[in-house]
Amino acid sequence: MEALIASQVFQRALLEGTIAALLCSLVGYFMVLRAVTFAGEALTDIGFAGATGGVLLGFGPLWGMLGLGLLAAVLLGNLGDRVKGRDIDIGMILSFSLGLGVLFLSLQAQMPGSHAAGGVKLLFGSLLSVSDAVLWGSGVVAVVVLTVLAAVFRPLLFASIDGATARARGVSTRTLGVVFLLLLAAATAVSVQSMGVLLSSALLVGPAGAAFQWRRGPLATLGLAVALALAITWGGLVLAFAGPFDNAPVGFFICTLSALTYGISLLLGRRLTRVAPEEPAHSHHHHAADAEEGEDV
Amino acid sequence: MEDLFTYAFLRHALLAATSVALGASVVGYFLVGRGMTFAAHALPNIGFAGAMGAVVLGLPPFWGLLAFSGGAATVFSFLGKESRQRDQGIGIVMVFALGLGALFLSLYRGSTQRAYGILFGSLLGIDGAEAWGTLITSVAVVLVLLVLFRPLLFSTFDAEAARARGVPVRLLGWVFLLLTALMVARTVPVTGTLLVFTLLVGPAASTRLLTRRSWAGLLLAVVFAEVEVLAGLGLAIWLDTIPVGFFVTTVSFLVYLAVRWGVRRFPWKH
Repeated sequence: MEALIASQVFQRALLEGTIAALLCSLVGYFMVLRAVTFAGEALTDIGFAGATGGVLLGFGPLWGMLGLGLLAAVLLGNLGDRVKGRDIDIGMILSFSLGLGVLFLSLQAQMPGSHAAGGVKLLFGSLLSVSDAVLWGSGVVAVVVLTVLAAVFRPLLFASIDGATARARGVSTRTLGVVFLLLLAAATAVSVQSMGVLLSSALLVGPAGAAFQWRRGPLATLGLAVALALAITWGGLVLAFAGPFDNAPVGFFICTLSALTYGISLLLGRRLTRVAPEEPAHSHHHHAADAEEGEDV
Repeated sequence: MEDLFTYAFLRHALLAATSVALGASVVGYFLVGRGMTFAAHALPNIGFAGAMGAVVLGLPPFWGLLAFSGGAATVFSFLGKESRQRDQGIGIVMVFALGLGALFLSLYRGSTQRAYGILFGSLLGIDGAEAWGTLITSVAVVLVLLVLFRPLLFSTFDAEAARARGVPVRLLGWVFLLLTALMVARTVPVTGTLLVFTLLVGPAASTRLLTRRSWAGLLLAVVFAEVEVLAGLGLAIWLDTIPVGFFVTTVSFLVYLAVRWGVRRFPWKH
């Protein structure tokens, strides 16, 4: 165990994993609360195009992802709050960015001195080969995201729990929606670097989704989401380094722990707790939206 | 141009591409109508894990794809309609499957080319048997969906009323998702995991903006899909260093933008 803690690779992975877990769980809480899981998923896929494009143009994956991700966030934010048709617009942007990613990756593969493994690494993560540049980049983005989140925390929470009342009280929910998507894009850019495009949802949806099953107040739920994300990430890292299965990737352990945490919370959360104060009003709103959504074909 | 068709690989590519465009657009038309865009995105990714697992065990990827996407489809049919809870459920199933995918990928000792084929497709490397298999699956899926057309439409439009009239809404939803899983399993080897979503959602998305009439919409979705796929394939053959997938997604996106702009600019009753 001591040798493990002393290992450079482990220390870097732990630091990078902790930053990603912290950002993803905080932003993931609002993502689940605002029911924009699909937008979060789309932003990780947009990260695929951003990272490959950034490498191709020579300014590195993180800046490519931030550039394209923030642009997409503004675009998505201006689609408005309506549920009807929103998923389809998001889907079309997702689809196009996957196509762009495929183009950039193939252009990259045609350049001399590149190797094909880069694409798979980008999709499935590489927490064990975090460079100094990646750590610094993540640190800077994390400081910015946490500062902005702290600044807009109260109005964002209000607008996310009860948009209509917030709007009536003069909170500009539309601007907040865009700001939130920008934060989501920045958090996914950080986590895609280490967790990969396809596995980033493990830290975005898993901990926050699990925390909501326990039906506590907003702050307790948020705290639980962060705690679960850290436990999942650290647990995954320790299992990958010291666990019984040699060579199994960290991503596998983190995803499995994330799904297990959600499954256990889903089974036990409802039985062991009373009904939460924030749930009824919000879910009523969504039933109405769903009825509207399914109204055609 | 005539010379091109004498190449067997091009005939197979053409057959496979038109077949998946047919099947995927019909399935996608219902998926989009049922508000299941996220499921359309998750199923191919989940299928990837199955395909990789099958490859590790030395089986054909198709069976792994079918097992995983079929299993996920079954879980999805229990998730209910409330969008927040449902999207979380879909997201978690996908996370779990992709974790397994990462594990299988690390267990696989062969060339990365195999994983690349599953992720990005190999339209120009399809053999005759696979191309015909794709056609048969697509036609079968479309025929079953045409038989189920009315009850499926009814249960999508008004689940309560359909249930009251004795339509087995939940069973129907499950059968529909299994058909989707089958179509996804057939499409992944052709277009790759990442681009199945484009074929499922793109044509249906453009169609939705133009008409709400069910039969006309279905037909229009198929036409959009065929045009997009053939244009993509043609462009890829013409500029042969750039992958087909890029052209198909780009054409699909441009068609969507054009229709969206056109409908706003020249509104008419539909």
